[in-house]
Amino acid sequence: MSNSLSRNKRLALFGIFAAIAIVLSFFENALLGMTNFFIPGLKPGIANIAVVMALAWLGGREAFVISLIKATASFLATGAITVLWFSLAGAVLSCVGMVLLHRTKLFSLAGVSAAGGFLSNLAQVGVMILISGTKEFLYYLPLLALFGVGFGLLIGIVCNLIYSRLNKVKKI
Amino acid sequence: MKKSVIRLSDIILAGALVLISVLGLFLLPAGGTTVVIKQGDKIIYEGSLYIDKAINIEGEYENHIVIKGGKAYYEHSTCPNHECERMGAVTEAGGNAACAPNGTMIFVRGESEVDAVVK
Repeated sequence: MSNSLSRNKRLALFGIFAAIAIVLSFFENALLGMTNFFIPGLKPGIANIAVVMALAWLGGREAFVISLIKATASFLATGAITVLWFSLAGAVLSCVGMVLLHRTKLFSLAGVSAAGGFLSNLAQVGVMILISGTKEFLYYLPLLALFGVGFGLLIGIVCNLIYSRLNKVKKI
Repeated sequence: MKKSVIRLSDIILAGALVLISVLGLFLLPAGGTTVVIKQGDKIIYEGSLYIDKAINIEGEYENHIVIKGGKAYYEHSTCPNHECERMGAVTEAGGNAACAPNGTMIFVRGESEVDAVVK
């Protein structure tokens, strides 16, 4: 598993995952600008692929740093300071949850990522209520959570597929 | 590492989370004919969805909300992402629209519980 990788390889992978996180964040924000979603803050979270892959390959600490990089990137992509608080809160809670679930070894990346999507939306709605003082934002939670689980599961399945293929690369 | 794309435990976990979300959906308020506009915990406006009105809310940003022909929506906003303008209208059937950067929200409320009982 992760400790079988050399220090240099881990460093290189970390850089790659960080780059993927940044690129996917920008890509996703560009995509959201073109679509007409009916819920604020709803996004598939494809940049989470980088976080989940870092979790599987490098470990919890690295995944956490990647998720912070991802949150900062989506703030830079939108330029709205509120987005930074939303994404930071989402990143922290979902990442902690995913690391813990991954440690239990009960779930594959699909389940881990689904829970991550759920927790990320939970944290974002929480911050939305805290910042605005409008408790009615709670109305959005069920739908956001539902989409979070769905998107998270899909992303996790993609990660499972990528992981089993990348395993061959490990031998290089 | 296991080859499978998804494990049974994943499905159980995701299913449980979906169940929690769906249960939450039932707690969502149903539609109504009274439109309420809030900023933070302050009610800015409360009135019938069928009385046309234009409301300006100043805050960190400026929201221009229009209530017209049974629809309430953000017509214009100076917030950075303009998500509120793209959220569509709140109608009698329910729904809500919000501008998170400005902390404002539009939603509908039914008649008061007393009225409902009398009916």
